[in-house]
Amino acid sequence: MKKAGIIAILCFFIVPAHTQSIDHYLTFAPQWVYVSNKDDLMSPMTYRGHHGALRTGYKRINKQGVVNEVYGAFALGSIKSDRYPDFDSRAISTFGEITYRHLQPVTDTLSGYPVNLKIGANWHNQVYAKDNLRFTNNAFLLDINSSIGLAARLAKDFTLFERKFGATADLSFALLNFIERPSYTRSTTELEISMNENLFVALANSESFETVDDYQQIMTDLNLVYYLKNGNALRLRYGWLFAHHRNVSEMYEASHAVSFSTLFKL
Amino acid sequence: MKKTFLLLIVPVFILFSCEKSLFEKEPANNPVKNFDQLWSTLDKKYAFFTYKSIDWDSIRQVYRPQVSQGMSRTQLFDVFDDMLGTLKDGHVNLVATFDVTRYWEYYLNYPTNFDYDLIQRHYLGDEYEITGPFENTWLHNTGYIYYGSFGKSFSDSHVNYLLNKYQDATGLIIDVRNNGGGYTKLIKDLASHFTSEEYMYAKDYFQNGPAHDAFTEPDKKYIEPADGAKWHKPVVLLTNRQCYSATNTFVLAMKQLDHVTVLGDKTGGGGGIPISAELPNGWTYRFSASKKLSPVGFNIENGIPPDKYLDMDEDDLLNEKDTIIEYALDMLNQKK
Repeated sequence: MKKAGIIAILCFFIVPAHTQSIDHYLTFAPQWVYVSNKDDLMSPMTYRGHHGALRTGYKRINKQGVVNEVYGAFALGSIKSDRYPDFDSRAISTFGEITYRHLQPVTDTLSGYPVNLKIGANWHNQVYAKDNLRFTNNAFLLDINSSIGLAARLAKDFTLFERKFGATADLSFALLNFIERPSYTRSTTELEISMNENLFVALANSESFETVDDYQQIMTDLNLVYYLKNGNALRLRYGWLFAHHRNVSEMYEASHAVSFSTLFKL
Repeated sequence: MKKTFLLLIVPVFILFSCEKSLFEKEPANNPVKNFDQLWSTLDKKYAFFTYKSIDWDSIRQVYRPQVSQGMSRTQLFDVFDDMLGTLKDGHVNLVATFDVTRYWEYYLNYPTNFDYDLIQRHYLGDEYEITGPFENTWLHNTGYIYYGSFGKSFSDSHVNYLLNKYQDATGLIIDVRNNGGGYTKLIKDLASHFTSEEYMYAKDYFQNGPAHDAFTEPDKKYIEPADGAKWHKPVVLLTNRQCYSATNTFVLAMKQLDHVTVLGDKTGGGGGIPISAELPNGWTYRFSASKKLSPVGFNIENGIPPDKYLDMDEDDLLNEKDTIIEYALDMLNQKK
């Protein structure tokens, strides 16, 4: 098993990439995520905790520099209010997300400085479930979000110690969000008493569209990419997400994610 | 190079460094804030203010002045206990590390009408069977089944076994006295063996807004016939004041069947589905967040009256007889 792992890592460095005018990359990364969540349906307190995650994705860049990329991640961990050590107010926390981003190049210079600026759209989809271990009928909370917004990227390639690197910073704001968040008492009790019949009815009954009045979301990404000679790359990523829901009951969430990923050039 | 770095990094760090300020501030952990959190959450979400004619604002005026910043946590707990007691709801509890508030007057102020020791010694005897959570035996030509908690799960095979075992009996006595409730799913699992047709047995209304009378449209609850064994002979369902919560709902479901007679005392009630919440000091509490009505609109929060009221007789107890079981046996054998 250990040998297979070493061979897989070596293969990554020696597999030559195809020469194409359009670059395609597949990424795969283990990820650490630190989540903060303050959900009025659960507690007046903020719950925080570490999560382990797997992140994978596909990235395509054409000759003109247009970027299309999609990333998916699944995370599992626990969050707790750390204010009162007497109480183990812990919740199992898990989420899955898929993010699609389309970016068009705008300029190669910014204030006279050579930096690529791309702008486009960001489509973020997330399913987030919490299970509070101290609660009973309303222990399970489920939120499904699909938001679309504007995205911008600053990118700069540079050489350091005769090695080729690239750095990018992404920023996106959600403009419109579709949410299913069974709320008030119906949410959790409904799930509890009707586990076999109408979980989906409860979700459907709770769906709504939110604009920036009721939903604010900011996503940022910082990436440092080290290009290998065979066209593949290694990427260190830091991502930060903040979201605030005001619809029906308030929820704040934020996550800090760090991943070290491989980019296989196809 | 340095400029690039700053251009990329600085805006992002500015954003996430203010994350804490973007979050709503957590309420302070002091007696006043804890009181306000408890009172206001119940004000928005408790389901029975209107039904029980409780003036929650006036309750606040009574108890809020009793809370002061310097009081101890046990003093604060006592104030909360008194305030929550005004709801007269067995589904309302406050849980601290040192104590749990509760409202048990719904049965403590009434006759017990149950003696398990008497049942075990003089009715179940040595030969009874324990089929899953069901203790059962023959009482002459009648099947007797005691189910002590809806917190103890069972499968269809348990129920099929019982109904097949007693298929030649004149009737069944199902004793749910002192059954304080448990899993609501089991209500349907059990009641579904006593009907051949689907029927509506309850309507749930969930609090869906801060107004005391803000409820959802009714969520109608149905019993569908089970696939396995079914029972259409007479059933006498024994109840007392400790039949609460899920048991209360089970009695509601069974009472609507023509071949079922409810015998004993009124049930304890508990029609709301309790949900949990948390205070800034870490104490948790639960409260009823929905109301349950019968198909004809009867609110079961304060209990369901039996078809035939019957209390345990003191003389019978001295003679080691359970008045209610004896009466049920007579009913099933056409003596009453």
